[in-house]
Amino acid sequence: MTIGLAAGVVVLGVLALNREYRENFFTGSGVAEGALIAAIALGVVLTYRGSGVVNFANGAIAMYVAYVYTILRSNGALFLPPIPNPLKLVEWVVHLFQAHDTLHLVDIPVQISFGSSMGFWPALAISLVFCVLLGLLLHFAVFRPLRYAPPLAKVVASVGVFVYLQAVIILRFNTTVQTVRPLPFVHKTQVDLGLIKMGQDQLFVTLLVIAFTVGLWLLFQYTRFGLATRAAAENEKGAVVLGFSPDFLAGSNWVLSTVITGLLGVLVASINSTMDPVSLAALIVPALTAALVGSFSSFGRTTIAAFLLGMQVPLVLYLSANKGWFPSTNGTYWPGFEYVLPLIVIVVVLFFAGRSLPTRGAITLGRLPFSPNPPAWAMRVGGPALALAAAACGLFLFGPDYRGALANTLIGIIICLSVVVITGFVGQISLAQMSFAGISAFVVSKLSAEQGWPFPWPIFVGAIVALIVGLLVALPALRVRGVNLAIVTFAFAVAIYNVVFQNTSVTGGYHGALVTVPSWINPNNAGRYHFLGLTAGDGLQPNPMTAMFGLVVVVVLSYLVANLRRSTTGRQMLAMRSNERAAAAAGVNVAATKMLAFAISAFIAGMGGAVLAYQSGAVTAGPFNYPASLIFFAFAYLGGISSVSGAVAGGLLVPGGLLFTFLEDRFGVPTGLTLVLGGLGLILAAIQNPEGIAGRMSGIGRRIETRFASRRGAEAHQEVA
Amino acid sequence: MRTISTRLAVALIAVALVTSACKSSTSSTSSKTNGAGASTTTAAKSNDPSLNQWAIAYTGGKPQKATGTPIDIGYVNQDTFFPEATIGVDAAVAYANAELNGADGHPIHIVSCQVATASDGAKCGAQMANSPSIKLVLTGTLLDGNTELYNAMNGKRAVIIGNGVTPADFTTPAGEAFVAGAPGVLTGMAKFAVGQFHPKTVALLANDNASGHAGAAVIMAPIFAKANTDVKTVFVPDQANGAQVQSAMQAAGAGKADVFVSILTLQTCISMYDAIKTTGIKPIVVTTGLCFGTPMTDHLKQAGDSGTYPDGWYFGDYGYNYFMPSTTSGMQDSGMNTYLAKVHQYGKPAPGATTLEYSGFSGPMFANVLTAVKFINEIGADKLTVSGLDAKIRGFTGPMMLQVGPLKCGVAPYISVCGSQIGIDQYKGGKWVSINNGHNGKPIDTSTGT
Repeated sequence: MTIGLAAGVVVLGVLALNREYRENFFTGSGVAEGALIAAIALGVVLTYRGSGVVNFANGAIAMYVAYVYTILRSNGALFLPPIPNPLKLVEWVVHLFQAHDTLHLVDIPVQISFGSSMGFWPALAISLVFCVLLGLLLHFAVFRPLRYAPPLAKVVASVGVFVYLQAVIILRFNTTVQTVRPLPFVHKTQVDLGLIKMGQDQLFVTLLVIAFTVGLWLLFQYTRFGLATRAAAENEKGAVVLGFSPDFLAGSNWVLSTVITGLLGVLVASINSTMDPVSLAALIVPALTAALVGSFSSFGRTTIAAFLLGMQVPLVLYLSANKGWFPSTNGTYWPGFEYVLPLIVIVVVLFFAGRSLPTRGAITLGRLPFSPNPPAWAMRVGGPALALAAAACGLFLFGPDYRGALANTLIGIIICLSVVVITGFVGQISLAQMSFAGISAFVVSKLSAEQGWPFPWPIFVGAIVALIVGLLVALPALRVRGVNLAIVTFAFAVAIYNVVFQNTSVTGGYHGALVTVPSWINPNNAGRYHFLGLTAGDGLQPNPMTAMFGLVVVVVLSYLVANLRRSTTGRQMLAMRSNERAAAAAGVNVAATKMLAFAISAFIAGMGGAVLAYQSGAVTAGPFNYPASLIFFAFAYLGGISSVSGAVAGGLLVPGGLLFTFLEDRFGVPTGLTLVLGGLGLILAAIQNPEGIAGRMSGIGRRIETRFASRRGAEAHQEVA
Repeated sequence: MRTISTRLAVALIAVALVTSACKSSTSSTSSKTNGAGASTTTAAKSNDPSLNQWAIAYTGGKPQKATGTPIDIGYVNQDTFFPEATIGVDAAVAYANAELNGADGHPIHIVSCQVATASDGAKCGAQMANSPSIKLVLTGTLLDGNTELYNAMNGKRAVIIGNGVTPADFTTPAGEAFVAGAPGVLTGMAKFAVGQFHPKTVALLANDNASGHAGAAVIMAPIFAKANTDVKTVFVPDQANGAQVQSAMQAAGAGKADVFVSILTLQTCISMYDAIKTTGIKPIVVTTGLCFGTPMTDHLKQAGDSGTYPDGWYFGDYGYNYFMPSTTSGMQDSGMNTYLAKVHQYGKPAPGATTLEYSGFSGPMFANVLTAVKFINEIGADKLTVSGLDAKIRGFTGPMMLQVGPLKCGVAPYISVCGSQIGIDQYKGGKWVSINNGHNGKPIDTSTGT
């Protein structure tokens, strides 16, 4: 800590002494950016102190409340999320027998109107009431049931909330920009503070953030409520003995957190003048970084770190655009390095101080999802039968839409398999699986289109490059775990997307990153294939062999993962997942096992990226953006994070996969609802069914088996008697 | 087993309920916004017969309602980002069917496919390529799945590309875009900045994506380099907040440079406007038409600032301006008056919006639909083939509705971009001023060295 502080003082001294650096570090925009980060980070710390949850959704909460406020001000209406309408069931049944226009019952409104546009204060008041309700809902419906759950379940639930809130906004308002009316009591005119010049509105929010920081510090330092929360954080049982209700404290902190986050979200949106579903939610990465520096407990350190993270942005941008020594690409500077600093800070902080950080999950691990040993019948009969069924469907039965969905599902299964290895077997949370996939996909593009490497060699090289990067990412994992590792990998995903996947040397500029696809797997080849007297394909796109190529990869990787689970290494991984200390005491090389798991996981994700590249014919950054990793992680958990069958279930659930294609085809479920349902499903899975769909089905199967076995046993007993 | 059945039933019911919730939501939203969004800010009256006469002359149609069996036209767009493209398409189809005899007497039926991810591009492409009733496909504006879409349709369907923004849109052999697109507008903006202001230094802000990088490095940088202009380029995220845009402007030296060029999304344009106001700098701003969307107007109004658009800024466009008075030269001949009247008559606001976004990409899509009608009328509905439509598209030399200048398709390196001229307008003192455009007969030709 002392070394860190000293280093910080030296860096600040250098910045202050050099005029050029000083002018670009102490800027109004940098301070304002820091205030935005701090606004989200304070809520993260508050939530953690109150309930032990690292809330990945805090940026999304700020965004959602800002939307509530914005729509109130512009339209005077409070929009509602999709609410199930029971009357539609009646309509549905009637429409089975009669024409669709014969019956139309009442629709559930999508908004509550308060008239036309609304003034600042009433809109703010309603927004804050909404915050209180949202905080209570999050506590009682989502995180209270997870009080004693492992950190993984809490992360999953918060990711579910993130996905759900963002999906509702996109469903209601698209991603089109909404303008936000300015605050009525401050303007955008510049204020000269000597060292820094900034807008009046920026200064106001900055001062408010500082005031909240001081206020929260006082609250937790000197009030009975704050002391009780601290006591409960240290020892819940002790707090109960002293007469405090940890449940009440957690609920109060959730409400306080959503109110502060929501209020600051509203103000931040107002000074930004515009709203969209992404930008505020994306501040969660630097906000988590700041909270991490503050050890998820210090409001002061968190806010200072947030301001420093914000203030480095204009300096890094200035250096990149103006200094010849800065890395360049294709004649311009190499952008995205402002995203690297949060990653470096996280890695350094965790690597050197990781073990001393309070990780509640380390104290109470709780029950992790059961990871069953694949039964012999599944390996010998079940797996091949499922693969043959998929092949038969893809080749002979499915039409174009379902063939495309099958190809998407197979890619989803591969990515989910990579999550199974790293999270299901080893208990390490990685939110960067699509980054590994992206690295491999771009390598495939370079080798196949630019270097002329024949199929399938680029696939293996791509996956091996992903494996190497995975090993590098694994280094911090040697000292950190659980939620902290999730933050490291999330920051890595953001950095790699901005620094590598947006680089024109990688993306191919105006020509794009193309892939040379062999004709027989080219999805746009609408041919028919004849073998063994059978005809595969219907002469329509996509090519059925495209999915078969993905199926072969899935089968190979599934057996690899299943055998890993059955092997000694797999058992060591599971032992480590349960208790690292015990595993080490039993002779497991924890570091080597972790590295191996990361390598295998990144390799599998790399295979997924390579298959995707060949299926697309071109590689773009979009599919490998960091939210994609969150979404795949979510669906992997929903399917079942600790088994191959779970990965298969997860693959079925992914957007564009078989399940949602079926729902769209048969029930008219719009694609826009995919993520809303996915987010809700994820929250429910975290609370009710941590073993996922596959785990639940397997549990039911086991119960049936046991019941039959006991009945047979009873009958045998009767016969003997 | 009974437990499984019960749970399965519960799950199905839940899905049905949530689905129904979404359906009811959509319908309610539409009806509400449809009523609220009827805008009356037309430049010309919709019942003016000269407007219809222009469209009849352009398309070769007849002044009557279309009847008979519909003709399917495919349409692929990313509505979550560019809903205004669909506004233009829907308004044009409604107009053509009601007043222009549809397409050779047949009502036009749009078969729409929405893209949200790269895999959707492949899915939509396959859908269009597989459907025997679809011979012609219009694309709107896509950020994802472009390559997959074009690859799936290449050679199998005639394709009119809408407003291209990604590299694939400019280099695909699958179809042609009649508008000048980003290559034309950015080239024209750079040429205008160099020719008009002879700058020694330029601050350039571009979005941090493949298009932004290519636009700055591949299209604009060589023009500035040829003019010995020192360019400081800074990239900002697509949905950057105000502070990030302000930081980027400071890094690029926007306050000190002779000219400040921005190729940003509307959202970042608004942040740029705020940053200029906050920092008090007074740069010469040259930017794209994306910066004058309705949200910018709303923002200025909400902030209490004068004018409808940022004062003094220069905007690049396709040569004709949505906001000029209807009597301005070129407004009638380019079809702008017809477009403005009819989009207000037939257009409906996007879901969730209260005002009709008729600027931006709506106009060119409206024009593409009427141009498609023109081709079908010329070929004849009974003789439509993919190759016949494709030949019409590739052989089209203009004049093109709302696009200045003649068209020249298939010119490398941007083989799928036909428009080669653009316009520059300035908003000054509450009025639009023609600088170099179709209104004053001095558009910028991006295909020549001058």
